[in-house]
Amino acid sequence: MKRIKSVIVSIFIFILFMSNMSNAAENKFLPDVKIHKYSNGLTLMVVEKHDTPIVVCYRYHKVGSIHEESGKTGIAHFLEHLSFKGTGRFNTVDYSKELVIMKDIDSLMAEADKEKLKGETGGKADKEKIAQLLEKVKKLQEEQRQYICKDETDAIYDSVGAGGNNASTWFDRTDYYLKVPSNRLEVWTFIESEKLKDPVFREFFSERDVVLEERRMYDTDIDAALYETLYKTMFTTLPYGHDTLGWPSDVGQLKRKDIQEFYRKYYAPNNTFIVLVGDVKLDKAIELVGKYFSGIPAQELPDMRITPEPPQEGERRAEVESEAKPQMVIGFHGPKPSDDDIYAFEVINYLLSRGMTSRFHKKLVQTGLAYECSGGVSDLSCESVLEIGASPKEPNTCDDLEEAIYKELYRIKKGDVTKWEMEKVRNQIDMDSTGIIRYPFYLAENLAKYQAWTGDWRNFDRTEKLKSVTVEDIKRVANKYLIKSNRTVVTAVPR
Amino acid sequence: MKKILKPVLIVMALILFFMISLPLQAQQKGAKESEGAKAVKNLHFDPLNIRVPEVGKDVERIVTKNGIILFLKEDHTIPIIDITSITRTSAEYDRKDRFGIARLTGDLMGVGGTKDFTPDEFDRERDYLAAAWNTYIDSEKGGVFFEFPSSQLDRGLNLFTQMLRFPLFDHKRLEVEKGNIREEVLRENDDPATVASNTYKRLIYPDYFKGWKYDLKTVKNITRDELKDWHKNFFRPNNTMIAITGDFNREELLKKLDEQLGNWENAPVDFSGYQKFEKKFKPGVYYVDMNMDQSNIRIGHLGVTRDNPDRYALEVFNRIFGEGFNSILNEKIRSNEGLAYSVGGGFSLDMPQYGTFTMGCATKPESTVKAAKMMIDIMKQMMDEKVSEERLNLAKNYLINSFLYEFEDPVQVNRGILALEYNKMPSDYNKDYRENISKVTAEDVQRAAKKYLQPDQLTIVIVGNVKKFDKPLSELGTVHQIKLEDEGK
Repeated sequence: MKRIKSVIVSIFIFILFMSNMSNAAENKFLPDVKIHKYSNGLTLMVVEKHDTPIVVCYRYHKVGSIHEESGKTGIAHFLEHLSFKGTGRFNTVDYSKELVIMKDIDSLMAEADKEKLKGETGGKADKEKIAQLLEKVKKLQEEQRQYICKDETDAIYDSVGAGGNNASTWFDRTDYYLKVPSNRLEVWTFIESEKLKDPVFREFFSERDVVLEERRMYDTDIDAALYETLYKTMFTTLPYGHDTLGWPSDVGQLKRKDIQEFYRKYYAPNNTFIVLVGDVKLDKAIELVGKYFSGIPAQELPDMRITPEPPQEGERRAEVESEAKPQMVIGFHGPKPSDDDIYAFEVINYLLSRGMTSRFHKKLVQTGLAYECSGGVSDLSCESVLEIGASPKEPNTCDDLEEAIYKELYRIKKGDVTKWEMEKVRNQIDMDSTGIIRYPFYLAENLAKYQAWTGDWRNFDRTEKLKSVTVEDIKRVANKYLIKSNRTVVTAVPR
Repeated sequence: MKKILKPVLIVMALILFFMISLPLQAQQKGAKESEGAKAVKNLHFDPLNIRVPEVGKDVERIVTKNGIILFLKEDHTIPIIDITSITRTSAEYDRKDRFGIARLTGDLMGVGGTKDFTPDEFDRERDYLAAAWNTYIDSEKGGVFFEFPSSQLDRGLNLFTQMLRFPLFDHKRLEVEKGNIREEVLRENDDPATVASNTYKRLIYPDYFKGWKYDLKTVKNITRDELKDWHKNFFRPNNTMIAITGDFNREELLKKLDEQLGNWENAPVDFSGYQKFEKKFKPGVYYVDMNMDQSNIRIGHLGVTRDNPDRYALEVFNRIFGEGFNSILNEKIRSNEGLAYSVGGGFSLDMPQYGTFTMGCATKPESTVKAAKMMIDIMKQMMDEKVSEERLNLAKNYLINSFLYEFEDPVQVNRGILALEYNKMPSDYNKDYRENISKVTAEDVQRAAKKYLQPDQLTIVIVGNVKKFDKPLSELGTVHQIKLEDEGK
């Protein structure tokens, strides 16, 4: 179990829908954020910081794995990978020649995939046929390579000293980010706008293999397996039940046109939020981003229809067999983000998991019962989840651990919380809020997220709401959510 | 940072203009260049003024009367004080037959209570401040890190001092930490990446603590006195450096530091337990049979020390060979062939004693031997061929242009200055870094590769489902099986 995980989750606790604005004016350390909307719906937010000549550049799309269709899971994440493969003007010396070859590759691979699918759905795949098709594809890929300028956009970023060039996909969002020396900002606006205007998903099938390797990496990790099983078991209708990486068989069947369609639907400028934090003046930022992005036409956004999760009617339990030593995760459904109960829900986790005087640490770890035990509140757009990860110390068992965990939850439900603890938690909340100012990537992500999901970036500052939670609130919320019928337990057991 | 012009200091060359003008046309590795890349070259960039922080200007260096070297940096943008203290000690002083003392000493300093506080009281005091903290002894230093709200200067300084000077090593807390080590050992075979890493380290570093496994009986018998003696010997003012950054007033801070640390006694430190290890090799193929859908591969041997004369050539080598999307390893193994999601390699350049040259990746069983061979071939290519001017310039441009990220925020700047002095780097290291990188040629890179790479001495570790591998492992070298011990007791 990774200790770090719960700390990071605790620090990064957000809710995505809020009805009230918090009063940020009291906190003199809050960043000064300026927002600008272009006529095509693109939103730009700028935070000026001129102490070092660096700009953190952040591009956020309000799309993630919850928007995926059955049979095409993993597409949002795969698209994220393919976004690095260039455009009609970048990473190529002759796109029109590439296009011909790519069409041939696509039809050959469609045949190979179809054959492969036979084997996966109860029939028998002709391995010889597949091998022959792949041979032909390999030759075409070699032919295409002569036109490709390998990973050129990344090379350009490298050569101008861009750092932290990376991207991520999750349930609710896809984001792309890096930092540049401030005199090179235009390189970013140029390249990123090309990626939005005219992406080319070249090297499609080799990247499909890379994504499958990424999937395998998580498959060999018991930690990841437990959490994936937890979500699979907790969520039967909400699309949190399938992992962002997607089912391998789905990923293995994704076609270039699937990706193109998904990109067209969800990467519209009116579904895009750009945040620049650093050594850039507001008017220059507006001008530069406008120069490159404002010409991209807005699109009608698809109906993001998501089936809500019905209340869980009883405890769910699952096991994952592995060679790993005993460990477990427990999940509780939490309040919807628009529900003010979310604040008490998060404060409960501060009490349970934060610091050496937290309940779990004091009563379970310090006593030698648990090797690790800590919780985190997951920030999802549709509902929150309290995840508790724990591993027992020999000779104790997961059963012993589970019992002890529920004992602590019971105490919280009874309102057995001291004044000292509440003061401590308020101090922790204050300390956490300084992270916004110190870490530009964290600030950018927060601003984009709250603007995208609540319509107002100011909502990222939840400090006062969290600090005004009372013991009564805690009791009420604990008794509503931390109950048996609302929980799911997943345990690693020997094969 | 206050932007005050001081004409009198121009001669000290405080402002370094961004003047490295390597040919920008060499951005990708072939002679090919897209229309977009050409357009980027036509963009205009203003020159960039980068300040390289200096002691005396950006950070104040003070030596206290009892020998503590302090680095102070005021910063009022956030209401926090960050204290990073490092003491010259390390696990290199840990004897193999008592392995665990250094680690336990470091860990217990933070959790074992102190002179004025029982362990529980200390936890409460520290948690109430919502402090971020850590105490540890690692491969090179004994650290106490403490960060707290600036409104709590007195409390914060006191708690920091308690951890640094007056740890109690409470026996109950010691038992908990011993239990943690035990649990760590019991669980070390849970994850194949960890298995690969441990197996590799144990082969590469038989005479260095990184390659030692904790012996649970030994750990059980480590006493409080051993930890106290360790602390007493090493944790002395004359052996400690502290960087303090944040929202403080200089005069007030110095006065309070004197109150807390002024009567900390100097004493000579016994460094005689230091263990130097020799550069030895352990060639061969060592496999662990584990039923996994992905193999973990680690290949390498011992490399260089921090003070090696070819540092800059090796930095450029690392960037070209195995760091970043455009490295050769990434291009060939991930991007072209789709064999791996995670792949990389290079020399570790910041070890006081030998670091390693290591390359590795994770790939499906059916491409395991293929991936291993590819990595080895690419390594040999670095020795046999000069890298192209394009690759060279790309790597150098990256290193030069991204250097400013070393100085992004005040805490980082101060810690960087602290580290430079602690690691005995030349004081001009930062000032001269970019010029030193710009001087590296393709010949230098090849020469360094030839000098430090040993293709016949490779330790090759593979963890995976042997039955499903594409080729027999004997194609890579002499094969040995490693059986995992299950510490069930």
